Amino acid sequence: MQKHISNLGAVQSLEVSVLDSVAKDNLNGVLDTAAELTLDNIFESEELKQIPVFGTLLKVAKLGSSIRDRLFARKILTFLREVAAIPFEKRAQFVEQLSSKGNKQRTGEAIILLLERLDDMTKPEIVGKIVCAAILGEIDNETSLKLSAMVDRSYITDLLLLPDSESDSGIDTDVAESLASIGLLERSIVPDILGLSGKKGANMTIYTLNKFGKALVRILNK
Amino acid sequence: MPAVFIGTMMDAGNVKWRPRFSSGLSDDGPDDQQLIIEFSGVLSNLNWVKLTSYGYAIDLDGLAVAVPKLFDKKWLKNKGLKKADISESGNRNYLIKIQL
Repeated sequence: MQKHISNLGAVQSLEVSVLDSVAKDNLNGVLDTAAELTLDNIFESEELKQIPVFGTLLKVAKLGSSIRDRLFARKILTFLREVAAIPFEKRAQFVEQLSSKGNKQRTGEAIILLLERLDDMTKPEIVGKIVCAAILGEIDNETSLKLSAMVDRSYITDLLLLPDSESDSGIDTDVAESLASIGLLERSIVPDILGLSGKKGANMTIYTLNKFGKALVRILNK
Repeated sequence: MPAVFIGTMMDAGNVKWRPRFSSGLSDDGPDDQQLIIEFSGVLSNLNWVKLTSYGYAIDLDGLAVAVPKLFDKKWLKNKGLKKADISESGNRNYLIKIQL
């Protein structure tokens, strides 16, 4: 992967082709035929070659010899499976709008760089859901990029607890602090009138969802 | 109308409880699903008062165990932790509001 990330031309192809893949007709059908792919055979699939980003990746990765290339391909596949659930017309319109505003390359680049970095196979699925929300107009493109970056920086087991943060049971304060540090929860300093955190009247920190946290919870709960 | 109970902590640490408005409650509880506790004493000594990541909560199951006569009710069963809005209404006097 280092090989093709350092190859500017290849990255430019990938960043365009990932959004061309998002806008591909019958994406769901092609991905269905590739349902049983594993890390071992992901680059041998004839079906995947019909998807622009995999065509580019195969050329760039020299038949995907490294484990990292195969994991990257798997992350793209997981991301596209989520996106494929959105009707073709909406996906195509989304990519067309990015193109017309001159944002296609930047957005594609952000998605490629992000997917390459993700350290857990649940994260590409979440990023896919975030992009789905952007395609459906539930969040704007900037918010989708910010949320995706927050997902990248998170520890996945903490991130999956985010929807519990405003449940009646709350979440562990260490988890809340971790989620606050990446920008999904807001810290408030309030007086502890009962003294449960130590001394009565001393300040204590409580954590609530901020606007990004609320948006991500809506997306995760769909 | 909410269900309202009064708890007063004695010098020995035990709490005397009485209902303020709870007569005529059906098995479904108060029609606005609101439980209010007017409490005098030290709340931090009671194990059904909890601090969570979002602030204070009341463990309704713990409260039912501590005061079964008033709180071991069908409309409070298996509710576990519930968010609580707790405000200080005077020296060691607290108003606890819980939306069930």
